[in-house]
Amino acid sequence: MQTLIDLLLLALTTGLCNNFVLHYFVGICPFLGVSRRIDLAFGMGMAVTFVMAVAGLLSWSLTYFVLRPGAPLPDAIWHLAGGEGSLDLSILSYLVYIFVIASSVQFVEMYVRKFNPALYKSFGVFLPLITTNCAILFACLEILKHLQTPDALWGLHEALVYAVSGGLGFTFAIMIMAGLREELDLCDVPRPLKGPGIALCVAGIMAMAFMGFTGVDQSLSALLSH
Amino acid sequence: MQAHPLKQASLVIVLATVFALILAAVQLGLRDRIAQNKQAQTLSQIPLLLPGADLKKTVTLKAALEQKTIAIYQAFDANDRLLGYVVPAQGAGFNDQIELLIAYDPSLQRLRGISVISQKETPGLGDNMTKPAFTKSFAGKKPGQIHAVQPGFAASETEIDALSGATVSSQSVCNIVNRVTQGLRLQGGQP
Amino acid sequence: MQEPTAGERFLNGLLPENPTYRQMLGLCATLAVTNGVKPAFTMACSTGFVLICANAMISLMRKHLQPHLRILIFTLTIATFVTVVDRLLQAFFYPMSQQLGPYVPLIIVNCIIISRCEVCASKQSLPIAIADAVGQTLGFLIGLVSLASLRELLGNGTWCEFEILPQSWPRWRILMLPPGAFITFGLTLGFIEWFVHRKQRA
Repeated sequence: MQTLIDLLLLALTTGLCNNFVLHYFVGICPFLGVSRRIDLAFGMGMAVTFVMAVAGLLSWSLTYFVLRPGAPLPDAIWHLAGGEGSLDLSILSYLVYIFVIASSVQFVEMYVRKFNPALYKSFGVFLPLITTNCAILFACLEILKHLQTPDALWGLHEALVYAVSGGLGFTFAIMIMAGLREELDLCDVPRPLKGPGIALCVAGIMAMAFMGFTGVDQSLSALLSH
Repeated sequence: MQAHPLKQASLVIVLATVFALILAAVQLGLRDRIAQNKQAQTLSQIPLLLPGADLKKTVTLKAALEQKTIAIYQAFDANDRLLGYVVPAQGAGFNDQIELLIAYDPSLQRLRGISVISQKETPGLGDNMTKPAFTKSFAGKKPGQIHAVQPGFAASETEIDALSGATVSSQSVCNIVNRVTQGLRLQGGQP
Repeated sequence: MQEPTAGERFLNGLLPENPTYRQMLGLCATLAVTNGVKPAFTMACSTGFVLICANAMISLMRKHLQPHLRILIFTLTIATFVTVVDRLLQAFFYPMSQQLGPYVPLIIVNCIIISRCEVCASKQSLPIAIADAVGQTLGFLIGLVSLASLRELLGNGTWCEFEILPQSWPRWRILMLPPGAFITFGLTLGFIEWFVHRKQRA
């Protein structure tokens, strides 16, 4: 039960309180670029969530078994080869992550095109763009951070919940933004602010609104554990 | 005609080798320094938390905290007198994780102070928790049930003056201290 | 059309094609680290180091690039140099590297670098590629530091952690928080747009 509550709180914190876009500023490029129409924004958000989940799972497994200091796999090979002590491959993590992301984008694209052409039609065009989406690398890096500190070691389920709720938070933010921008097109915006200027100001006000979620997780945690 | 795949990939293979060498050199050259930096971040705080502590005499112990094993520090002065324990801890704050060092007296029954290593609380309000006025106020308190009260009203040994405008952040710090105190078990006989 | 020379490319990066204000690239870093001048400066320097090294490297091997392996090689190069920068920061500026946190590795997906590799370095000779990279770096530095100065000065009354404004000045705390980043950048962008427009009409 406590695990479930913890996972729920983790999802809530990641999705709302520390929203990827509005609190950590990752994924700003699609946030400003693709947020013109709600349906496109939804497609983009779903694509990001999907890739983030795949990349999160892969990077958790790779980090846990291969990359972190004292990981089982390289140590076993090293000992077989006659070495002593423990290996630290963490210097390779950034290289590995970026290739994990690139290949999971490829993989998701091939899978969806083959087995679900309708879905591919709705968000396939966004998939190549996602490789350079910082939000996904950011999720991998957060997972890495939580595998390095022994005090807060994440399991696979926590990593998965983190990735999915991060992606959903991104979708949420980008869709609200798209809705606002559809309305903004009809407004009389001062000329120099047209385009990205006003979009950023609106994003700022949205970020302020999302700051209202801060602390919700603590109250909820107190509520649920009693 | 297409060239042989291996020939096409030759540049990638050469580059990968070169980069592997660069990274290996960086890793070998900087590894010790980075490890030292990480240690120093914690160790440099110990004499501030427990005045008179001699860093050369600090002993690292293993302790159990809620099913996990963590490293804690046992600080001695120059005459080998036990000054107290320093325990690294972390927990949820108002915005993000807060990382603390908690200093206990030798009996582990009283606090000697805390030190905030990293926090991302609200600038101007919650981030005042790094200031001595707040961290020193933990000295002499009885850990376990401490809680934050309205600023200026802390009277008993389980009450801390909250930072003004940041009750939640202050209470978060108290919660971390309480949780660690209740969960900490030294390994090797001691309580 | 004539190809721009090394000097022109350098100047282009500073203001006419400023990466922050005109091309709007690398926004994650721009918004995330500009709550202080020091982190903004460190971030711009780290990005610059990676950009210059990657541009030079790509320019040196431009004749051997296979079109379909191009992006792979760019990514490999950038990720390696970012790892090097990350380790250097951890070794010599540890507190700063802790403060920047995940935003150092995020340089890998900073669009400025990959776009410069694609647009310039993979086609031009070494001196031109380096001039271009230095120009873009300085442009990025100008963008980040100007934004950080505004936010730190108005939001905290300090510049580079020195008290500048008197205590009687009300600190606009919101500028130090995430919403402040969006709003400051949006308004600055609008101001620059207005300024450029007015100059063109005059």
